[in-house]
Amino acid sequence: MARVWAAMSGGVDSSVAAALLVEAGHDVTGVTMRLQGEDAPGGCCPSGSVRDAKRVCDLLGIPHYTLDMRDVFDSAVVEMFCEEYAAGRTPNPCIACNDSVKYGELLRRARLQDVDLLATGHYARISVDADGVAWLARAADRAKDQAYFLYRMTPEQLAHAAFPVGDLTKPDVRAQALARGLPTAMHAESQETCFVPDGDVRAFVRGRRPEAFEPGELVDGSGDVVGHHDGAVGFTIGQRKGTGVQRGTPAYVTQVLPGERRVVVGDRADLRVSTVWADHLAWRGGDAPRRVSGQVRYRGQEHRAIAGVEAGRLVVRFDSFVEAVAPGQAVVCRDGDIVLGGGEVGEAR
Amino acid sequence: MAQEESRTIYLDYAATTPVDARVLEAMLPFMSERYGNANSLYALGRDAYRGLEDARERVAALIGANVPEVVFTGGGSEGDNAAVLGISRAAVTRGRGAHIVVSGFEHKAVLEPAEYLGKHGFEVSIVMPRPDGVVYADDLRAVMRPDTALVSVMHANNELGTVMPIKELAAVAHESGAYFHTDAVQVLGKVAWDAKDLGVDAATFTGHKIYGPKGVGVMYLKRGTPYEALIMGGGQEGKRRSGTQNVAGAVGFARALELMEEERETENPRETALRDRAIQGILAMPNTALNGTLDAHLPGTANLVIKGVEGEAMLLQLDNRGIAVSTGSACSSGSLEPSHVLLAIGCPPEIAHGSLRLTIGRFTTTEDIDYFLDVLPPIIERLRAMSPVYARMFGNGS
Repeated sequence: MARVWAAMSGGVDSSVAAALLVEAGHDVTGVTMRLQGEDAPGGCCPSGSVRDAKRVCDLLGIPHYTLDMRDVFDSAVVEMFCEEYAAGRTPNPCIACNDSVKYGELLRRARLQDVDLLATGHYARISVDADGVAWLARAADRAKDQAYFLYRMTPEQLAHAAFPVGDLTKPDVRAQALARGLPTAMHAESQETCFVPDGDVRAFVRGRRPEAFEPGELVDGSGDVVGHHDGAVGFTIGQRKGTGVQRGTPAYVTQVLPGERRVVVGDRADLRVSTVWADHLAWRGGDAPRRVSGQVRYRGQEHRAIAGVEAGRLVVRFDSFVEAVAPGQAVVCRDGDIVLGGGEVGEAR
Repeated sequence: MAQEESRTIYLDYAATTPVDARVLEAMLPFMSERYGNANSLYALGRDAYRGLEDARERVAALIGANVPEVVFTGGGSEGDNAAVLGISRAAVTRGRGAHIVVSGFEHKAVLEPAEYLGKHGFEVSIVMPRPDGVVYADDLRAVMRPDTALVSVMHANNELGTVMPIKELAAVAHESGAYFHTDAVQVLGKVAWDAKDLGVDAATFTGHKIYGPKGVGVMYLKRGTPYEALIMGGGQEGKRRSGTQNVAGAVGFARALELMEEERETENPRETALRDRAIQGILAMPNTALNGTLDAHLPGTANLVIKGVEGEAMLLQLDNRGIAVSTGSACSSGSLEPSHVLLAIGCPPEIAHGSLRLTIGRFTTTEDIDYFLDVLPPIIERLRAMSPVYARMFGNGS
């Protein structure tokens, strides 16, 4: 029996995770992070709520706490998100949240309570090697696999982590929730960035970084002006809609240059890259080049590649072209089911 | 953690109190056979009316009010809202200026209506408490204007237990012709409370802090005080608070207040002794301090800082051992924020996070305090040993 904190968003996955732990005989306490002020739209996962989490805990007969984590969420996730967009990059706030908030501050608070394991409703697995070292691994349900969002986890964090739904498929999880009469059984999936109202990233970043929005030009590959924008922030490489550029073939965003107030557009072929250089590494795969499968976005296709560390950067050379790799996104590499780690894309060519 | 501790040591009487069995007994008939609507003309209604008005008379006698000055409400927050909004708006129609004064560490039920008025044409001045947790008359005088409409300063602070010089503060308000309201929720029954002697124009009380039921309160509203009702409708309570009266609640409130008065002489010294026992036990640990002065103070309340400890971590561990205390007010939906009260008396946010409020009450025993004092120090020592902040501030060791 372990002392476990089950992080509960009020959604179905974390509810079932908590239920499974209770049934396995663990000493479980439900915790919900309060991440935003009362004025914000939804919470983490718009479908869930503190109330739902508490009701599930009541049903399971376990205590529940709401923890105020607004400060760390705002500085480590929301501010970082705005800063990255203002710099012309495309951040992944869910990765930052898992790293700094869930398996950062929340795990720290859990350890203060002598908690052995912090469980979440993520679709991922933990694999322990022959030396007893924990590795992050893909979930059983490939379509729901969330290991991409967790690639930064260290062996120490993994040693205190549990992903009880990682062996299940989403339909299984719903069925288990229904079978137990959990009030969260039919909650919808959360998809959008939880703190951005209506998914309008540009409007959100503009609210926090109005100074970053300066009108400028849209240019093509040869530098000819093909349109205008009211701020380069929020354009993402590979984006086709919303540029306003009218021409014979579809125009894709190929470069975002806020410093020059420029957005470069080009053809789909211009989005192709074969090599990615990543920084801010969380990499356990060793320096020597090795065969991996690489992923450059959540639910993105996997691509065969050779990855290794050169001059402090992770270099991922793909066997074939990869499309639309934006700086700031994560490149994550696996060997089979085992996640070796990754980093934030700095350059892609 | 999964097994809730069977032992419960309740040290959070400022958050709420259990209903005293004698209060419940007085209320029960009005929830069963004497169920009439106090406004109905037939016998059942007249019987309920008798119960309601009997309660009103008893409350009036105990707070030094005239009978019609006692308005039954739905509790403390309602009373605060009604007084702040209702008096301010009505005073303006009688020629007072659109200016109000509230203290910086009022309950949110006063602060939020004040902010609301601030967004709707009023100017709001804040009088800050001094670091000892008391609002002084001179400081109030400094922010008064010749046409100020309302001053609202709480009688006792809910987090610190400090008691304000209400008589002096009311006199300062009156020098400028302003009306004076006090949130007296925490003080009722613990001091001899006399509206005429204090000279206030309005006051708020609630049942559940005096071993009465939740959801019932009293607003004292001095005759002649301008007032616009917050809740309109059937015109009950002299048109000052519409809605079918909660007769059982009113009866419970009156009985609860009587018991507070009857037992005050023995209960106050008993609670003070228990409080001091707890304070001494906590102050025996290094790097601890008392918040607010004990010179003018509620008997059962103590607020301390335990440096280098996160309040949340401490509360969770105490909860795990069956001890119910808080870091501040209980009103923020179970989540822990640095207390606006402690920030108002100049406590730095990182220290405010490590505060501990314990409030002792009618059913607290010496054994409860001793158990608490057994359990607390090892928790503090362990949390400090794990805290980089504590190591930085005070070096390692306990």
